[in-house]
Amino acid sequence: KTFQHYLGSDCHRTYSCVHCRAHLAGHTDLISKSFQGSQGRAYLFNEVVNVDSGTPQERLLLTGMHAVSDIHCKCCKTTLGWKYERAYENSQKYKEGKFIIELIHMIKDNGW
Amino acid sequence: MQESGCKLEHSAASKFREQIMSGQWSKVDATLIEMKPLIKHQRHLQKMRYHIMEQKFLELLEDAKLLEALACLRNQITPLRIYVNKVHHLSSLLMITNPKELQKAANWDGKSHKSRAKLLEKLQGYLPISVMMPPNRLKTLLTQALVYQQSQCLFHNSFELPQYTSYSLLVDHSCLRHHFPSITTQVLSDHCDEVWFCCFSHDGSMLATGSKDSCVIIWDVNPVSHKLDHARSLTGHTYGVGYLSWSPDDNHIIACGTDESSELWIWNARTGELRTKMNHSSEDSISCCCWTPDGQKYVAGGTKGQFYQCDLDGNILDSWEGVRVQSLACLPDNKTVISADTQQRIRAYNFDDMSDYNLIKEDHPVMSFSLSTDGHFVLLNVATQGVHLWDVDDRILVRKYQGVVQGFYTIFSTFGGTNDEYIASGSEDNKIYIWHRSREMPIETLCGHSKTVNCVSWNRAIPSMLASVSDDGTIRIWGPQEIEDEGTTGFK
Repeated sequence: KTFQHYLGSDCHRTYSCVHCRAHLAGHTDLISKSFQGSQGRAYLFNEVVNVDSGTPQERLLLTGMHAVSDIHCKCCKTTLGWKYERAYENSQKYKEGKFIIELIHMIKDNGW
Repeated sequence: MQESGCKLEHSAASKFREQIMSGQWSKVDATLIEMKPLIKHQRHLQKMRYHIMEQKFLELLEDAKLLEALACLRNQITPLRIYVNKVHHLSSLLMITNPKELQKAANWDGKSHKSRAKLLEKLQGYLPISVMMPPNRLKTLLTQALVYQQSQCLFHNSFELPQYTSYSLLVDHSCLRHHFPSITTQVLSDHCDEVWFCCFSHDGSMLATGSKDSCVIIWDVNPVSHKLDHARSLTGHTYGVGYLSWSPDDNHIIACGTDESSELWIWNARTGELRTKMNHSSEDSISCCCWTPDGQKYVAGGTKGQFYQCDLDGNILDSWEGVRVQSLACLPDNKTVISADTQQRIRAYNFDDMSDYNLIKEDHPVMSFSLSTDGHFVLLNVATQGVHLWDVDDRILVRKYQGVVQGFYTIFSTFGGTNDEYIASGSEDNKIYIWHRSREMPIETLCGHSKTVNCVSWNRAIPSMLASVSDDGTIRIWGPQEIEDEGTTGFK
């Protein structure tokens, strides 16, 4: 039985999975809003909860060659985006270890 | 003793002892003067004299030698000028003629070996240890050594207290795991899907297991063979059974579903009938519950914000708004309920006056917790951090136990052993970890399941029996290893 993490105490603005309402990330972990995914805009986050990642694959993205692994929501299993495992160009190194979640899968919880 | 040159006690001391026990009071006084350099304070000398004279006085009174007693009081006790109130009391005793009344009034055992031995003990308190040995010293030392060895023995798991005659002190004591669960004694595969929860009844005669296959199975524990038999199956839990709780008298059991389930089932565990099915509203989510110690009410709650106190028919008596409950337990005082919520805290709620207060604040989410039988300690399963032991009354962290892998699934842990001195927990690496309460590193890891071990339960009546359930659909019962014949020389 999966255990769901809740971002409650120190985080008042949370992003949740639109399908199952599980918390995904807090607003304080948002790094950038100007990313593009396959289905539209996406946000880059520092830390996420309730997600699980798959196996890393090498993909050619708009910004160059990267090793990424797809992430999905632990509770409803929908694919949300990806995690940057490695970046092959120095200018892209800042993304390593961070998560991209596409906007169509997210909703702002508690109306803010 | 003569050979070794060691002296058991000072020669004057042995004389002293002998004279007191035989009641030769004048000689006692002389010996006391002899021992004067050994006694540290002058005051002590006076006090000792007083006690000796008091004994002499009381004995004389008992023998009805009134004149002599009076002489003693006047000439020997009063000049000492201490304990003046007591001296006045002694003079009032002169009027009593009946020995029994005298004994009662003076709080004295009568002219006997016993009272003299008591006097000796009192006097010994004033003499330095090197002069006169305290009584029963060897016995005290031996018992202390035994207790220490027992506390060092990690696998000691029996009900007996240490007696210095029952253990050999030639070798440091360590149990050979005779009473400790270390191998699988039974594998039960009656469930057809992941098994999420298990719990022994309070008297240890039954085990209840709940599974994703919407079934609760009650097993009977055979007290002789330590084997389990399928007793009853309780079905109908639509979303699977996530949590079980036995009533304090073990007659009823509550089954809760998962986060999506709004229903709660109360079964009669002995007959297998459904007593009540509680469904307050279809929007509810009840995922955990616990009985109050009087067995009349229970508390249930879930992560979507419901937190109710209900009676046995499912009527809601009280509710608390806005609390996301992960796990619950009722304290033995019958008023307070403690719950772990999603904000990484453990809070206590008093349903009588509707007050609540913070107990513990962790840095990581608390998945589940269990209460020790005395109600003073809680064992928390903290996501990614392992198992933590907290003191409820003092609100401090006692110990963190290492080794467990958890973070993805909800894992339950438990206290166990005769005095709650063991801690066991399931883990996502398919093993069961057992710790002794005083050590951070596990003393035992049990392997055997092929998937995450969700829950473990320790039988309170049979301290060597442990049950574990796993996502691989099986229930495993663990027991002690067979004792090998101690007469062999090592090969079979």
